[in-house]
Amino acid sequence: MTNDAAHAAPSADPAAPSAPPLLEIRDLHKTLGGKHVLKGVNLSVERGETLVIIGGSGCGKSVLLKHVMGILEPDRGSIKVEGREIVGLRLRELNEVRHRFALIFQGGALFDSLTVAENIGFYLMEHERLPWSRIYARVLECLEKVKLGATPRERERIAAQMPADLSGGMKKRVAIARALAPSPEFLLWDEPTTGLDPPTADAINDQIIMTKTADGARRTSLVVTHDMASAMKVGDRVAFLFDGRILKEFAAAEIGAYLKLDPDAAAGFSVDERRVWAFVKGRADRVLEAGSVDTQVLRRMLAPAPAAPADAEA
Amino acid sequence: MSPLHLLGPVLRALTGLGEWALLLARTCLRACYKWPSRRVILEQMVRIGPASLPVVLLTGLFTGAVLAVQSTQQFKRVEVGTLVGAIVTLSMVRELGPVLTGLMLAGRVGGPMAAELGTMKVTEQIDALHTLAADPISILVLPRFAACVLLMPLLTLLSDAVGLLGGYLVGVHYFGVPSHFYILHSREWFSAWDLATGLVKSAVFGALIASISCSVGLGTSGGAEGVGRATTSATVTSSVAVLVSDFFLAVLLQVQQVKL
Ligand SMILES: Nc1ncnc2c1ncn2[C@@H]1O[C@H](COP(=O)(O)OP(=O)(O)O)[C@@H](O)[C@H]1O
Ligand SMILES: [Mg+2]
Repeated sequence: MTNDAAHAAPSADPAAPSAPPLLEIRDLHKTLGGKHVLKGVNLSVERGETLVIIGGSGCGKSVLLKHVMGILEPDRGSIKVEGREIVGLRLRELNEVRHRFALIFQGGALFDSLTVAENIGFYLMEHERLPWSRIYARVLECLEKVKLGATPRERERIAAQMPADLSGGMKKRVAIARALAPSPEFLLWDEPTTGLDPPTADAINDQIIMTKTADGARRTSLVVTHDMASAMKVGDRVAFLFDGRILKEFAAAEIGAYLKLDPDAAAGFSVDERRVWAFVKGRADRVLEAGSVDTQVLRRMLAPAPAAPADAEA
Repeated sequence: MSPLHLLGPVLRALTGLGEWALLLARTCLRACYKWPSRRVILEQMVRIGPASLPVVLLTGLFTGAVLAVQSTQQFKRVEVGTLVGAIVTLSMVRELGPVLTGLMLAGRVGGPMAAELGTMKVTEQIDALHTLAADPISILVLPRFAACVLLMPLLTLLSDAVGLLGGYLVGVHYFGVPSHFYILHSREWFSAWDLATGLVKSAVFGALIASISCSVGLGTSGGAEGVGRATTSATVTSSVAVLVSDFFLAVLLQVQQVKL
């Protein structure tokens, strides 16, 4: 990781910038239902960047995000937000973190007894003493932000619907709108493109990129996914979660070079690294074969060789 | 079956008991701190009341009637047939009204309540509440709890009323007990204390049904199948809790009455 010193893990760079990272996770362990799911996760997310965590299904991605939101408590390890430990905080202090962070659940997790408008306006109703008319105006703004409904009339119609009446892609967008309503600084995305058809998935990728800078803010994002194409499109950095640990991190731009390594070079890898390489390679090939809409992204990454392969490997 | 095989279910039961106690304590704490708005409670009462009213009325009516059938036959043998009114009234108001209403509510309301919260749990809606810095106990549990506690005495009163009607109809019109004596003896034996104990008991049953069902619902895991299990478990557990607590309440209230 030569090209992006500001994004390097603090442990690798003792002369780290003075401000602590927005999120720093150290040696996180969690056992759930008798299974050691997280086995010492280390990662940090700097303000303003988008870190993508890639991992196969069932490797503990959702569990990791729930730890960041304080829904699950780790068995061991630390989670720091701007240098402040959040493990073991009391509910009131934990809620301060939750006011600033937003998690977009894999299945949307929309409240199915409430209308779309009430879902999106939920946070505002709970925490801000605003009349419903003001909240409703914010709801319509949020719907527009996530590109639901082309006209104001249509947005009002969608706002009045129940979540059960929406398609999968629309549900996802409503979930994003609900997360954006409180204007969070930090967005946590749980498999945002999983289960969507390619055009919809790509639209969600664009949405992720767009929310980074929406309303002048510079938002931080942590995306977990098993979708390589999405990872390379939206991420500034990509980390590989395998078997409960982060095995390797890349700047997104390095992945192209990494992919071009020939099997001989990969033969010298450690076991961990060989697994990552096989995974990246396998996924990338599959994306190319399937000819999905993201092919051009991958091709662009594969075409030039910005960094020597040896660099990426070091 | 070795004793070790029993350990699992026993541990699970104890965990469940602990979780229930914790939820009940937290709910009561929230109730002291901030009582939900009248609109929110009313909303829940409207959902619970009409759903359980028909079964409550039907069981009340027929229980009163069958009490009259059974006791008239016995009493006529010992020549005190006119006491039937008293026995129906006392049994209904003190015991059967509250208990049967509780059992009906456990089935008609407890199960669905657990299913609703269980679905919210397995679809991560409960987690979503947490991430929005909202409190599931204040938002979901407390209104249901309050609605059940307030509604149970009302439903019990109705059940008592139709039970007495059922007893009267059978006793007077079928067995020919003179109406005057039926009412006279009913009045003579009935005291406000009986009604009060019945209503207090029913409020406790309401608290048990709501807290157990919510606790089971919030503890759901394992997808749609888990929701099914939670529904059954909530119904069965709250029914048993109604019967068990009825015994202890009966003893406790008896002691109180003796003191008075
Ligand atoms: N509440 C739980 N109880 C028991 N096991 C769990 C629980 N939550 C997750 N797990 C297990 O932890 C592992 C990781 O889950 P998860 O983080 O949801 O995977 P994914 O990476 O697909 O999001 C899975 O094997 C799952 O079975
Ligand atoms: Mg997941």
